[in-house]
Amino acid sequence: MSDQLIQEAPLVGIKSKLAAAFVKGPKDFGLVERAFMTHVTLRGDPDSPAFRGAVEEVLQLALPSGQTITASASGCSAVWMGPDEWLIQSVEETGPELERALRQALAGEHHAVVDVSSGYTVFELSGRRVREVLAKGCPLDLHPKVFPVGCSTQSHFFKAGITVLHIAEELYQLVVRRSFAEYACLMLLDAADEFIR
Amino acid sequence: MLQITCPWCGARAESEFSCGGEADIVRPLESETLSDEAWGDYVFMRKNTKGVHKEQWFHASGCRRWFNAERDTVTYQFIRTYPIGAGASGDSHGAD
Ligand SMILES: [Zn+2]
Repeated sequence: MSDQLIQEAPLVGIKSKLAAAFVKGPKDFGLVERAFMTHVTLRGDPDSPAFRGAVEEVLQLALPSGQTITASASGCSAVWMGPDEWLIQSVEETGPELERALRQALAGEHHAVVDVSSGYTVFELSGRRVREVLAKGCPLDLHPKVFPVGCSTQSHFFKAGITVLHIAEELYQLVVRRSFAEYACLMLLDAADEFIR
Repeated sequence: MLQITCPWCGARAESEFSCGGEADIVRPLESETLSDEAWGDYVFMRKNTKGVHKEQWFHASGCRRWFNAERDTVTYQFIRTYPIGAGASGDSHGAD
């Protein structure tokens, strides 16, 4: 009888490989999985004051209108995904509650809110070589002048679609589809090989 | 690699995009009275322009939006990109 659900991190299958790659510790490049973060996809008309107002009231942050990240005091952040789409992220496991609160606030407004937490995982990439590792499979111009801290955008790392968040000087987050997590991680380890050996 | 200017994301690498073929093809309104030949023309027949061609492009690994582009099929130069519906006078982004 299974009356308990046990969540498994998307990288569980290559856990030992990941640990073995960093036996010497993350010196010039580090990769840590932040599984089970909350991700909610939000769509609506960015020019509608009612839509914006309702969302900002619930999330306590201003929805970004360019390729940036905004954050609330309570650890919730909004990432621009397209002209009428945002990804709401939180370190707390609050997907269903967030979805419900947004739906309630947006009742009557043209919108879409879906808790997509189980479809994604997050890699935290850090270190002096982080840009070089990313650049091996991602065509973005990652120079801090072009893609400074606080910026985010979607692109690809080899064949995996990614959302890149520039969190701090040498710290990036990749939001990766769960089904691509193993592939993206193995490709990252391969790309980082010369820096972590 | 080519750089393509997404109307929403700016200049990005070609590998983030996919091409959706000829732009501005209008679906026939009275399809129930359409001849087989006219249907075939709408579904299958496409221009094979040598020179400036209007195409649909998709920012597949980016904002996942469709937009239109004017591209020279001889030189591969993107002359401009613009949101679908913006037409000739809408917001456009010239190639750098
Ligand atoms: Zn785009």
